[in-house]
Amino acid sequence: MRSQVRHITVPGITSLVDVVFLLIVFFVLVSRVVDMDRVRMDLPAPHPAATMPQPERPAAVVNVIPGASGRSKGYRLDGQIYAPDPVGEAALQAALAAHLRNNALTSVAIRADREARSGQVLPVIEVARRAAAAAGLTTPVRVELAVEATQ
Amino acid sequence: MRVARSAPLGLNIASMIDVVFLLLMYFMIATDFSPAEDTFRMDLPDRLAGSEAFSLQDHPLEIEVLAAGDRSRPIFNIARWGTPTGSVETLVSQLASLRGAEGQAMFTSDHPVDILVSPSVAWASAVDAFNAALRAGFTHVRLDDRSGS
Repeated sequence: MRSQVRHITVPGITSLVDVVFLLIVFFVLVSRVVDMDRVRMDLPAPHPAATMPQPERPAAVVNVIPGASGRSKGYRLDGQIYAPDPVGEAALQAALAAHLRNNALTSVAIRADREARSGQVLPVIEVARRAAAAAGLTTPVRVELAVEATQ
Repeated sequence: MRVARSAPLGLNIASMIDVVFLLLMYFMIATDFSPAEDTFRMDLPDRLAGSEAFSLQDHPLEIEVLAAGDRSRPIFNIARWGTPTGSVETLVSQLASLRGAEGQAMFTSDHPVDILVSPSVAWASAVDAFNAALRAGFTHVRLDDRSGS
């Protein structure tokens, strides 16, 4: 009688490590998508700054997208881009109001490039004010102006 | 008796490079190269709500940030109380002297301060004026455009 030969399969440890690292890289990338609402720009860096660290509570982040010679290319909130004109500002106001209605504790963080014209940033403050009124908030909404952290 | 010959142990260099590159990629992605952020907190003035009939509101101290020739070098002016200056440090000292010591101050630390910014001024200068008011000890600081719209 012929005896059966049993093949023992040994997993290649190197391939296993390869796959595990690929999985880690994938999850790190996916988790960083959440932070993609912060457009890369040069924030103002006052020195010495009387700032506070970023609060833990959630904030609706409005980015004033930097353009050429201080002009803005638009406003970005939750991945959506709104034009820097009255129509875009009205749409931004509606989106912000929906944000504030869903979470009354949300503050509005404004991120703008240090070279941006103030005339393109200040309308966002007015938009936030109107959005809070449209959302029917009883307490005034808090605005956070993002600046570069002092080292 | 037969002597068992052990096979020489060698590292598989290709797999090692694989793993090293994956590690490198992981750390490059995981590292946040963007500078950390802080914030200035500001409560919005409740301009849309009607004011109470008998409330006596303090007239805010107004700091104008005006455009000069260079957008990044504006003129700061404390309306009615200061002399125009191009220096943030001078603005801080002017504001600090207005606030003065507790009990002898012309303005208390909770007196509202409005920063009125010309639209053409660089955002960094508006933030500088905001920071100057906080550094001088004022706690109720707001940003607005010069038209007040």
